Amino acid sequence: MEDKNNIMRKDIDDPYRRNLAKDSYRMRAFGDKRSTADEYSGERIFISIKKKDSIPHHVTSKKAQVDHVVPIDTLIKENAQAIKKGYLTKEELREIANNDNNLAVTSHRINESKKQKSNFEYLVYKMKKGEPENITTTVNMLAAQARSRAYIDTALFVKKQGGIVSDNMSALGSKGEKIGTEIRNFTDNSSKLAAGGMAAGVDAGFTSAIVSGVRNIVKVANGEKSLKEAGKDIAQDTGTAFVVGSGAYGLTQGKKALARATSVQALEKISINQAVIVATTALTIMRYADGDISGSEAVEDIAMTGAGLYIVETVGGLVGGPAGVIAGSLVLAAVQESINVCKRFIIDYKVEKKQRQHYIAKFNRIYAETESLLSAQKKELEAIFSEYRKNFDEKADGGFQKMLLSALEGDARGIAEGISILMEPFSRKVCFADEKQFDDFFYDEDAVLKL
Amino acid sequence: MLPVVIAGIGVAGLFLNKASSNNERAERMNAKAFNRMGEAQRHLMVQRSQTEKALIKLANRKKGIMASSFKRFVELYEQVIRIDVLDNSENVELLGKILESFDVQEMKSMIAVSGMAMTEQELVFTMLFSFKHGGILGSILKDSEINMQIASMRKKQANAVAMQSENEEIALKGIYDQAEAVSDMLAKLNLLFLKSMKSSEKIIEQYGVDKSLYTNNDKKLLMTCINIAKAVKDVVDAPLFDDEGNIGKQIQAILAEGKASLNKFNGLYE
Repeated sequence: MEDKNNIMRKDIDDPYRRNLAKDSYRMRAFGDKRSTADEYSGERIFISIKKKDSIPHHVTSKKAQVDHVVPIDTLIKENAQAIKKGYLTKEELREIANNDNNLAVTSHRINESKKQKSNFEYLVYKMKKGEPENITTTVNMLAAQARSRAYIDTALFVKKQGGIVSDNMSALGSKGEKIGTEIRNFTDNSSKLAAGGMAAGVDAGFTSAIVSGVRNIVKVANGEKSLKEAGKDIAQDTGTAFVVGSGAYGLTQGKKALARATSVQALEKISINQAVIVATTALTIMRYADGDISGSEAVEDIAMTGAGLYIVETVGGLVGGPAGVIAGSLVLAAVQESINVCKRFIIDYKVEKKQRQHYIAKFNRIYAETESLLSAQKKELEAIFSEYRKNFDEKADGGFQKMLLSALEGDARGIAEGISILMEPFSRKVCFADEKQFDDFFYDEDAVLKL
Repeated sequence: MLPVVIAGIGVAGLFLNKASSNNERAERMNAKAFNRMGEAQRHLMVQRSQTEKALIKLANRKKGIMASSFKRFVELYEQVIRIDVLDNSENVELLGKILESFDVQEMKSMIAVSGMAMTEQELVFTMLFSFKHGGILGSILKDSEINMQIASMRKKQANAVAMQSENEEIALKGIYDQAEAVSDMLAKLNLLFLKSMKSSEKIIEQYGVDKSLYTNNDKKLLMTCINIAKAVKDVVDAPLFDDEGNIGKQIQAILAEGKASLNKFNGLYE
């Protein structure tokens, strides 16, 4: 007998909605065309329609498949307990898993290789395998994972906790109603804001930040966290937010942050969103550390791009009261982490930079000396050979000329002189310079010609 | 949150673009550096081969003259005078050793910038996983900048190696020119030697050992032939350059100094 709590893959996957139905994700992606862009790589991929002879039109690797961005197995693993406890039904999980927000049309190549890995795990896997995906695919896959995860976390939370929130808000009376209103406002405003920058079809109101904020509020509502404690956190986080906003936090008060913030030990512990914040904030602080921009420009940059934008949008402008700040506190925790990492980065970077600069300066000194020496040696070598050759050629030409002219005149002494000239470059002398020397040798019975 | 992610990804895109641009420039710079060095080494190897051929030609010419013309001279003139031929054939063999100081392989090893170089895999891995450098994308940009610096250094070092190769090429060309000039001189001397021997052959065959029969003109012919024979033997026995070997030593010292200077780069990576 089948255990109703035992979740099979087939319980959650919905191939019909993904691939087969006329309005399936795949069919909508292609419309009336035979090819479309791979959502990950951006390359052209093709709908799998076979010819009569059953030979595919296109190579298998470019055949389109629909990928679950957050894999089915992961969703089952993460939610098995919730289903078991009755907080979530299989149908609800199936609905979420096969929502457009968790689907991406991609190539057979990527989908088959990815299998049940998350996009991030897949990129790591490819990297370790020595076949890293290109930058476009990397960014698209990470962005897709961030979007899917935000949607799934939010949708699951709403499904699992929605009722509890309402109940607890009611129990808090007027305070609860106020917080509830703030949550709704926060959600609405975020939706409006997000709608401007997001592609259509993505439920912009569902963000993991909101989920986290709501979770905190639920803790208050459940009595796990008192309003006083929340207030303390608010004061601290508001202060932190102010310092971050003023640009002093990350740049001059980093030690405090360092002491409090959670250290980041591995990439897996940081969410994609946090990683983006780390990266954007890091660049700004790095530029400040390099002296490329001033402190005020760094603050402006942080405010306009990474962490600052995050804070301004979520904490500063949209949400008033404790709910917003509690929600914002989670954001700030991420920022704290970012700044912590950045702070350590600055220290490492400065040390490394100093070492590198020292190393490069030493290298440049050696290069300048070597270049100067080799240039001088080139001239010296050319001069040596040029001078030697000039002398050698002069002696050779002069010697032979003298020999030939003397030979025409039958002048043995002249020929000897010619040979003498010829031998100068070799530092040798002619054997007999004149007839007398020869006669002395010729008639001396004991004389030996040494050659 | 989502707009932030999108904005972040936009900024990330800028990061990646800049990093990618840096890496492309670094790759181009590396390619140029290796081309420059490769071209210099190719020239050096061609020159080395030509010089080797010229030295072999000279050595063979020396051996040929000693085995034919000079042998004939000794056999002929021993009929009238006493001759002691000193064996200096090791000088002929020494010609082949001249090239030993021009080690092309050694030049190739000088280009390694081992202390700073990262393989492509290491670089990619560092980009995505190194938190030491403040996260993924900052790391990409930083590593791409380091890549540029490495490329710039590699370019300079390749230039220095190429300069040393060019200096060695000059030295090899100098040796080649000298070997060709001596070969040419020996060929001309041998021609005169053969003519002179032909003239004296008749006289020696006619008068033999009776020296009183030789006229002044006959003796002039013998004197000239012996003078040429001695010159031929001197050239055969002589080092390629001066007798004391000063020029050879000077060239060797220059090239050794150049190599020592290049080796200072290697000291940086230890």
